[in-house]
Amino acid sequence: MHGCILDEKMTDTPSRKEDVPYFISEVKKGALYIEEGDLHYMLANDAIDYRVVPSPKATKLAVETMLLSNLTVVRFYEKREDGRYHPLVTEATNGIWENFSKKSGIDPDDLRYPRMKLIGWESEEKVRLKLFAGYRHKRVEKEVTISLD
Amino acid sequence: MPKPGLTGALAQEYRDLYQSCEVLPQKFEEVDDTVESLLSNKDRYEAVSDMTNAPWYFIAAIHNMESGQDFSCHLHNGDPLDERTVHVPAGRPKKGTPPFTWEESAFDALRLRGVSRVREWSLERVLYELEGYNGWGYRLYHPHVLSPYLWSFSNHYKSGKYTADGRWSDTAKSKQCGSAVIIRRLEERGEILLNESGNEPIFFYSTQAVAGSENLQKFLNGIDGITLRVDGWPGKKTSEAVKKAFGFYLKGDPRNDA
Repeated sequence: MHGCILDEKMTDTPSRKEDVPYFISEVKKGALYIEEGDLHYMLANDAIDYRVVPSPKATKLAVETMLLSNLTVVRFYEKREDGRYHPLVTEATNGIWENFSKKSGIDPDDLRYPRMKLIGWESEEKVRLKLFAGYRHKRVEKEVTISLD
Repeated sequence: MPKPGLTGALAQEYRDLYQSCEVLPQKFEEVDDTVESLLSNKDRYEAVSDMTNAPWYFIAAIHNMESGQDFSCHLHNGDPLDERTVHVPAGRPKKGTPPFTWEESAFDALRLRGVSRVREWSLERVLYELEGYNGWGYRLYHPHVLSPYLWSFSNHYKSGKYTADGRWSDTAKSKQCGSAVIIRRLEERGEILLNESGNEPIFFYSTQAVAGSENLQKFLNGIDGITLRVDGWPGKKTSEAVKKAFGFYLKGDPRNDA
């Protein structure tokens, strides 16, 4: 189980205290559930494992999503009026490796075991990632900032 | 994500695919280079095999797929071994103190994914566990493509894979040698011998009574020079009788390893 409280402190065993707003993410059999206030819902169910990191004000979530054992992507979600998080897809989030590959002259088909690793939130709108992969018997490691606005 | 069971039909599919698997001629050299490299680290894979009960070649094939045989990072996700994993799956291994050896990390990664619970490693089971280790996304959501995690570089795979951004592409092509192809090549070279489940021994060495073992003991008593007590315990003496009759001890007898 992965859980986190609003102060971004990651913990394996989330605690629930009276009168304190709480946010819990939990992984069960490949599905990611969110529990916040009275809401309890499934956010995703198409991966092996997830790591959830809320933005500083918790208006957004960055979710490391292990789609396959050798393929991890970071997905983004934003909180909407219904109080739930919903997928946030922009041009910037939709082709992170693709954009990097174009700029670097890398053939994306040559990437092996590509993994996006979340370094952290720089602000409510910007997030820092590390792109990590094998490439033609070498390793690619590149930090990038993704803007979500 | 739902997990398919290893049904009779799926086991047959794995057997058929494995038996008809051929390395693409243009990839032959690369496959053999990969196999050579894995063989040169066989001792390390065997050390993890001793801890997990998974065959060394299963671990080797996963190591190749997950990190290109890099022993300097966690098998879980490529994080450095000098601390617990930070990224998904985070905080692994939970036990022990960093820095971790690759073997400690590999044991934890395989245990986390349930590999150490597998009791029997037939050909079908090996292929099923490999596909499951990678995840069932191909089989569940893109069944028209056989998983490149198993079959890339063989006649069973042409194209279709998840791109680095996590999107499906029918035209993108894996450039990593599939794990089943590696295992097939290891067997072709005589480095390993895989059993289909139908060829598994019926009787195993045991220090406890095992139902049906009386039949084996009665059968052995019919062979000249063998006199066994029919007690249903297929232990040391029964195994010695099997050795006398067939030239090998019962499977599981520690003397097989001597």
